[in-house]
Amino acid sequence: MTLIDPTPADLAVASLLYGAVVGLSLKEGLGVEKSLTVAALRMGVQLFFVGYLVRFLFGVERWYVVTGALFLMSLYAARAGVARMKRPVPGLWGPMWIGVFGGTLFTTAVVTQGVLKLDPWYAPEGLIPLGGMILGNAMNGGALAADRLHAELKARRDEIEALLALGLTYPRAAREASREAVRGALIPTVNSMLTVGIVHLPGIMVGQMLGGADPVTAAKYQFVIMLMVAASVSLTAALFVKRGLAVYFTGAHQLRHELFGEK
Amino acid sequence: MTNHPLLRADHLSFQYTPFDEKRKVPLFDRFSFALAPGERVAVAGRSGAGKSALLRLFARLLEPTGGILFFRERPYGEYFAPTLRRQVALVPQTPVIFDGDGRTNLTLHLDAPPDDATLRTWLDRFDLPADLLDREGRALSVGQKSRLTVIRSLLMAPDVVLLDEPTAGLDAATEKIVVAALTEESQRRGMAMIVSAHHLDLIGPMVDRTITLHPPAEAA
Repeated sequence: MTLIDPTPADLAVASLLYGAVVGLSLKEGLGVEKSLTVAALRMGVQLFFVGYLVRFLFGVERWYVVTGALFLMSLYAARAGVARMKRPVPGLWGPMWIGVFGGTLFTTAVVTQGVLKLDPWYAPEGLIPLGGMILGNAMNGGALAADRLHAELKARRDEIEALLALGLTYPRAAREASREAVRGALIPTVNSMLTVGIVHLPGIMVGQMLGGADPVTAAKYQFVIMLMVAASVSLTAALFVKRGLAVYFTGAHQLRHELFGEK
Repeated sequence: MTNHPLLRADHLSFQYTPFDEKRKVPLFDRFSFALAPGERVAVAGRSGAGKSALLRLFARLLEPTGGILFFRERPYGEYFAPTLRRQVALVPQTPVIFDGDGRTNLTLHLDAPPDDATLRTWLDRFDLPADLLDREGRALSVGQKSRLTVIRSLLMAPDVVLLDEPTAGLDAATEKIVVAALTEESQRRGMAMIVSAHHLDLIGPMVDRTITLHPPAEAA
């Protein structure tokens, strides 16, 4: 099978799917047709923009351009990770960036240098899509950890304060909350590892098969990718929680109750 | 006993800003207070007068918005807060019980936990059954939990114990036992105490003096 490159007419056919969604929304009075349209347009613009941008990056074989692009993406991912919290907490941006960057750096290095052995090491057609995918997962993991940490600290604040009153330091007093936050961030990853191939075929695997790859080769890649996702999510969550916890306490090991909406 | 106070509040002010609000709610304004070693003081006042906040300030769980607190005439800021809290020990009003048996609940914070015999002596002094050590902490009654948290703090051998309504949820007979056990411990070790209470029927006779806090609206 050869690579299928969809023509504009093919894309127009795909848009019929969108028409079906809008039709359903109108018929059932869901009232989501406007936000759907905005989302669909944004998605289209973003995807084509990134397609052309990456095509450009593929042409520039300079290590500092490739790593620079990934670095900028990590800044954006950290911002988006914090903004996604149900209730954004000031000061979590730094810990989120440390988590996202650290989790991505380690995982990307192992996969691109250890597993795929890119040549040159910064080969943009490997580093950019893989780095971007790892970043995206790291961001999701970080955002989940942030929401969970906030909820756990809020729910356990009496317990944490009681432990502080018994002379424990804040990392000890909030140990259970920290563990739950990292655990919570990993649950979706573990679930998707359990169901992959049975309930769903991941997009990247489908894409590879459409691109003409052997299904077993695609499965091998998917195996690496799932492990990569698990590594980046857990590392990001752990790094974020370790740093982010400090935001919830003062230098005198006091829980900052004002962050939860009470004294 | 020396002339130096053990604990001292110098022009202590505390106001808090409710979340998402601009206004500040003042609770104390330039409140001064000194506690001598071994002294027992009751803090009286209605709900909302700031009794709990005052005890949490003394335990450095809250930071004053004005004024300075001293322990042994050294400002609080010079201490490592967790170390200070082992000497100025707060027993919160709502007893917090952790997963695990009574023994775990009594000793989870101690580097060198006492043996079971010592723990049973403590339980006996507070009229708690000896088998409580092996019972699940969360399954205990409210009154048992609250006594457990008092013992847990006393096991740190603090210089001051801050008790926030220690007899809330206890029947009159148990309340008497707790008051007697606390008084005995205070006299035996020269431990100072600050006890907050709604009513002073039983606490009153055990303390050297009482201070009364007024809710902010009344104080103004």
